Amino acid sequence: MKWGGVVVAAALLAVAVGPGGALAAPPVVPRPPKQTTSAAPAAAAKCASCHLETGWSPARFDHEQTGFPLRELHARLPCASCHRQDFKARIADTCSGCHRDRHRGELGLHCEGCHDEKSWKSSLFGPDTHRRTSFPLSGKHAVIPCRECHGDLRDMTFSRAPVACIGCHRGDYDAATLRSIDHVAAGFDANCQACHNTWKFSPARFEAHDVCFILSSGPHRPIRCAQCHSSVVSVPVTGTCTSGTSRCISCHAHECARSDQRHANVMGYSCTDRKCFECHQRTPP
Amino acid sequence: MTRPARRFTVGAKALALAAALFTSAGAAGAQKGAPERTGWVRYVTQKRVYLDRGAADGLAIQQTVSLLRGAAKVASCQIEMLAAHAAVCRGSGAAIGDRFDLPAVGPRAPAPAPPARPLAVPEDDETLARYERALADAPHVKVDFVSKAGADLPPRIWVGVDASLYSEPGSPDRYAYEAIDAEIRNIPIGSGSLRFDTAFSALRRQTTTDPRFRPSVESMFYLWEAEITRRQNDDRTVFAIGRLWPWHLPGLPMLDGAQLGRRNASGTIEGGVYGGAIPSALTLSPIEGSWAGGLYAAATQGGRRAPMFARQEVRVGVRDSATVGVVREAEAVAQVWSRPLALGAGYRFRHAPLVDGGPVLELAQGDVRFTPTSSVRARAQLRYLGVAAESQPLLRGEVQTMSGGTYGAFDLSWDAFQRFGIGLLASGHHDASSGRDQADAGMELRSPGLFGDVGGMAAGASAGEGWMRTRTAFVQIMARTSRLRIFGRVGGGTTQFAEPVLTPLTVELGGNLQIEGVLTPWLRIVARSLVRTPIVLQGVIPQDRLYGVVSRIDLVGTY
Repeated sequence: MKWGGVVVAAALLAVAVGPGGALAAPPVVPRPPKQTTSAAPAAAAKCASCHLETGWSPARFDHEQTGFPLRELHARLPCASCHRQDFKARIADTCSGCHRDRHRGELGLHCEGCHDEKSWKSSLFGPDTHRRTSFPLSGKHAVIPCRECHGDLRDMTFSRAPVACIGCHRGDYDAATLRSIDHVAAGFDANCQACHNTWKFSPARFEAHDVCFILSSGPHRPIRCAQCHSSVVSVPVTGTCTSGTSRCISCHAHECARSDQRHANVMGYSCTDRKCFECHQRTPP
Repeated sequence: MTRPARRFTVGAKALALAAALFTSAGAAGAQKGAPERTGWVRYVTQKRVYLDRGAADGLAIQQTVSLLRGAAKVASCQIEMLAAHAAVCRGSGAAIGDRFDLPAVGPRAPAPAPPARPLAVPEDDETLARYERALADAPHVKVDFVSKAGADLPPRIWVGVDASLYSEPGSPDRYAYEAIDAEIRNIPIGSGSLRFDTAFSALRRQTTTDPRFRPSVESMFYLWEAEITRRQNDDRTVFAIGRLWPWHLPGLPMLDGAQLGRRNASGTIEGGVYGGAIPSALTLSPIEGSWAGGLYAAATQGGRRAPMFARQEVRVGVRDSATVGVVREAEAVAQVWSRPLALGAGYRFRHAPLVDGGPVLELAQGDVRFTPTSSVRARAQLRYLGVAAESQPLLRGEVQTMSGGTYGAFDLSWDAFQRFGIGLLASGHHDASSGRDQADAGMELRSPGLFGDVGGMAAGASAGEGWMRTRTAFVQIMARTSRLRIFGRVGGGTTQFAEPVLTPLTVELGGNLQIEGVLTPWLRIVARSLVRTPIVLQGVIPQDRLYGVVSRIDLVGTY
């Protein structure tokens, strides 16, 4: 999006030097000083607080005094669009009192937690707010569009999105057979978070592997399963360290003749993959 | 005595909140002692500024008034209407609270009037009756106020163009989309009370990888609403036809069909029928959906002497579902406003004979808002979501989720001082499908006016417990001028899966920046960007440079 920066810069420049209008109402405005008590009769004082002698209209009224400041689009409405009877009749002061609900009522009656007076399109609900749901957003989840997980475009209830990883990532679980290892055959359950983080599927954290060969730290941490194991389809996770499919020499190109010389005095040495990692778990050669 | 400057240096104000409070108190004190030759802006519109001084204070028609904010001149206006102690001034760029200096000697300053004295209190009914007769016999024609604008909502057109980019530097994966969103509201059709409303989005998505969830279609068009309505204040018979966003139909947010209703003379009771097709949930296509029909009723209670305002909506209907056949539904919402309380409750029962043995409570909710003073607000919300009759639309690779959960939240907000407030937030959630619980609690300190008119800042922290442990903290600033608004937020947090096994910490830093500028009164641009990066990933420092960026630009036109 190279042009994005240009657009922003141009717009800001135009804003800075151009004759643009003012924002309709800042979020917080200092309250003007209170009017001094008038010596005029009470009725006249009441009229004069909103109207001028030159005519009933335009009238003025500091709506902030009511506890419901008129901002943005609300400031453009005629009074009677909310005050249907008169100004003394009580009316609702929450969004749901006047507005229809796209969310089928499932998100409560108070819209102001997510929306402001500019437009329904602009939502204040972001990744930080999402922590108040059953699914705090971490990793990539915070930088993908809402619609990727919340699919019902009709009512936007956002209410029934799955919480468990497998709820959305079943396809990835199944496709792992093609991309890395067959999770079902290898005995990995659907609790993805035990191994994977929310940023990248790979490298995964496989703590149980440390019993056989330490992968949680050290230089072997970032390597993928298939870089050592020739096949993991038939390797159940039993903790017995007998897969028979690991190949040290796929990365470490040892010639046995040379290695035999270096390990001539090592008890039990043999030039096999299993013997390599039995000794070199923590200090790779 | 002069009013203290409002443009404080950021550094000085950020040093200590106590200093801000002291300054605030000082400002208030100074304001009380403001000299008589200073006036104030009481209200502003786009083209006019309303002043609290008039002819008796030395102002004159056509006089140009310079408006000051702090020591700086921010705008000027020309007086076009003048009363004794008020004036309407033509100009823009001012804000409520701006001041102006009155001329030392007004060009047409009237002679000092003798001190006003309140009228004597009438002592008896006979005197009052005499006053009333005198007023009635006075030779002037009384006029009533009739609003020229009327009560109808004005037409409005809103168009937003945005481009978003989701990227992960270092990775070939890219996800970007451009969209046009538009809302067109209250367009009159003919000279009667027919109106046209529509809202739509056109979206084009580009991705370098296989789309994991959404349909693999690059371009999409979503029609949210396109309806012709007759629903002005004085209309007794109301209707809507088209793709509706229906009125008074709780639980039915979209319908391709018609709604017909009848109101009583006072407009406080409405009842009617509705019917049509429900569009597809995933694409909003009108072809793949099912149908719905039923009855509805709505009522409001309130008035000048009523202690409260209340409204109720009830819908009883049937709908056809592709997977579970006919579903009977009954839904109601009731709300009551009576300061300091606002109460709301709603429920939905359904009966789908193919899957339900009897009526099933599908939704129940309650809201309470308590505002004992203008500076304190407490809110509580409870929501129960029962088992759905049919699954939500299947996204690509998504497992069907029919069971809901229980959610509760509590917020407390206290604006303790003019420039300082505190907020407490708590929530809890039980997900019925997975059995997982999650709770969150946090606190925010807010000072939106910490830097005077320029802006303010807020900071907060939260902690979450449950199937995912979270700890977050943030600091944000808000800055504004007459044409620019800037919002920036930086924060960080830790996450840690607690189920099924406790995993090592992941630590992330992030921030977002939003800049909004007003190009003209009807055109503004909003640029926003969100960045997140992990610095510790499940207990280890990631070897690859990872971060995610979301950038978006909205060009918004409003007529």
